[in-house]
Amino acid sequence: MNINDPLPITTYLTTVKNIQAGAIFSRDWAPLHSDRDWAVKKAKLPDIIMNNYTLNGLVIKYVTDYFGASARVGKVKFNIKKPICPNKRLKFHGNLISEKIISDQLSMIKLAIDVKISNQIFASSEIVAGINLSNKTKNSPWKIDSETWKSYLFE
Amino acid sequence: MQSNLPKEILKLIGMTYCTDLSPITVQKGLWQNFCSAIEDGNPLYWDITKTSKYSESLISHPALLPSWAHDFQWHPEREIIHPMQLHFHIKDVLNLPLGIVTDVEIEFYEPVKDGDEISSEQKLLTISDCVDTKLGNGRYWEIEVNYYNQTKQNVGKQNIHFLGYQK
Repeated sequence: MNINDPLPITTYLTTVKNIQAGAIFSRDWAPLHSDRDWAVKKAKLPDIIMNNYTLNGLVIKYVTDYFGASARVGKVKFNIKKPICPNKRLKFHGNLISEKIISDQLSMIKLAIDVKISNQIFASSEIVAGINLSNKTKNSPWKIDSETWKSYLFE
Repeated sequence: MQSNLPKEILKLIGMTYCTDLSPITVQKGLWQNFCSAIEDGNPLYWDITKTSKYSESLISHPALLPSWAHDFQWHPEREIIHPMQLHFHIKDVLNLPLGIVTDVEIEFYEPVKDGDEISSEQKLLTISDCVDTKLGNGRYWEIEVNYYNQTKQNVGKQNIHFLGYQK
């Protein structure tokens, strides 16, 4: 992959059930993620909204689905521009924005990912991840000790 | 203006507000429910026989790191521990009943595993002047939360930017 190369676009259809499930299974009991009456009448939102753990989870999934299970996400930064409600088809658009080769086995990459609905950006994020450059599973970034791993995140 | 902030809020800036001990133990069944909701089949979260190629154990979905400081909705024997107490304290003091998350930065250092006990420390970093937004009038603030496991290892850090507002 080269800098600025796009990743394949993937989609995820939001439903009342998966927005509620994402919030409940992250034990986020705030009613704006599960109670439509509360979200609309009290918070003046269009509907219940996806919580940030679920959005973060989907963005990380987008990266590991593409780079594989050995990809280790170290940093995620995201900005929620508009509330994400049920019955919307999210499209994940990613680009490689930088790469630092640490060794012949490990590369630290930075990706920009936009979450769009009907071509409008609803959330944008930046992810730093370590990817295995060899096919040897013994080189999995998950096997790097946390102090060494941290040092790669702050380079 | 920041100068209009109550002293109670000003004195919080840069200080550790509270340390929350883990209300629950990290359990794979809990993180697998979440993975199911987002349809994430990464074997690291699901299948130890496939995971061993990459990691010595199953790991929790990284996005759930802050959630390990969240208690159950109800517990038979104890009072529920509420997460992000600092955020709710700021809302109360400033009389801003509504709040949303606008930006999040989260770093993952040590993988969280089955059986871990995660504690957290909250700190207010910044708070803005009064703002008028489409949602209402309020203020923005940033809270930093550091997460530690049972061996006091810093497993990650989250910086959350909130808008607290009233209609």
